[in-house]
Amino acid sequence: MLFRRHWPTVWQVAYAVLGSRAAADDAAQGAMISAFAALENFDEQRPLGPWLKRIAFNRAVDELRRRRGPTDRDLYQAAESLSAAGDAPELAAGGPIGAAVAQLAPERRTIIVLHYWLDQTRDQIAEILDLPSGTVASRLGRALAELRSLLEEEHVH
Amino acid sequence: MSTDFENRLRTARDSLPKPDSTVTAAAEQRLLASLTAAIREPRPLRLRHRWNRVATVRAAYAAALVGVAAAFFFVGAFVYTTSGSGSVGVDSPGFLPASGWNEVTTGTVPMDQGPTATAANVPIVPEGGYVGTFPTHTLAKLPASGIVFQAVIGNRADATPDYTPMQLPLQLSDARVSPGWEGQPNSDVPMYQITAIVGNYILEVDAFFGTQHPSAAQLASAQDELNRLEVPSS
Repeated sequence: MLFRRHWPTVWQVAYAVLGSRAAADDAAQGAMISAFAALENFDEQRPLGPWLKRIAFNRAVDELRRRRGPTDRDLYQAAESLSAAGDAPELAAGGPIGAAVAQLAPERRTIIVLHYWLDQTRDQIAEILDLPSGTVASRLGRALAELRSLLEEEHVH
Repeated sequence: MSTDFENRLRTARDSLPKPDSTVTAAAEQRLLASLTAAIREPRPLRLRHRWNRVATVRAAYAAALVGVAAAFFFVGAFVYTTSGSGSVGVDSPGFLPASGWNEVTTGTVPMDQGPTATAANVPIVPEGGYVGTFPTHTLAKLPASGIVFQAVIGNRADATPDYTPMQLPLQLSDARVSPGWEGQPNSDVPMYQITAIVGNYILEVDAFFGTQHPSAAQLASAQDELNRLEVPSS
């Protein structure tokens, strides 16, 4: 039950970062194996879901880094020098909003997906991304502004 | 406060792809294999009380795999049967048919795949074609009047103190109620959980309502469905 309950979300977090179904398959599988192997070290006072998502996020970032070469530890800053990791074709096919989200850099795409589609609060995102809650709020704002701008461009053209 | 733009963004959530069923099955098998490898090199566990259930899951995976391996050794092939926990294949639990209720089951599967029945008074949304998986998509859009059950059995030997000997029909009044729970796809959906030992099996029944405050009629309807739950004979 634990695997089945959390697997879809863990996979979607990996997909949000990597933008590729195949890469998400590998990262999510690796994350679940790492998580179950480390269960005895898990703090029983904390919920399992955010912890699993954090492992999936870190695993996906590691994969991104491996593909793109060494970058800053902070994916948000690294994203400035990266084009989107994958072109997220399934996402891009999902209507104008999906297509715009697919165009975002990995960090911005991830933060939008976590908040608006996976219903994570800012505090939960802060835990997953290992960032202060205030930083999450400002980055979410910037991601939202970029998304709005992309959709307006789309509308103009 | 959400803007119109944010609301539009939320409604596009179905754009996010989901893992496909073959990858899901492969991932579960890979996890199982890694857990089995881990128990070959045991290390001291420091599991605390809350994680008894996690330990049970791990033990169940491992025990089931050992059972499968033994079956290969002695029989030379997978033979699915409909008998009890000592067999490779185990019948799923099931709900007797009733008007207005839908059901999907895994049918007879090895214990490590979690023989499962899902029943609902709403259409059950396919989870990527993977029967028996957690009904995330059904729960995500569950209307206020909706009721969903998922029942899964495991080996009695894997029971933890959370599992109490009970007889069918189970009683909804015995359930632990969680208004919020991990993996909850819809904040309006509480989980009513019963963990029982029935015959040679441990049985977990999760009941979900489309409202945090189910009416007396909804609770009665759910109890009626629970009365129709059957577990394979040992």
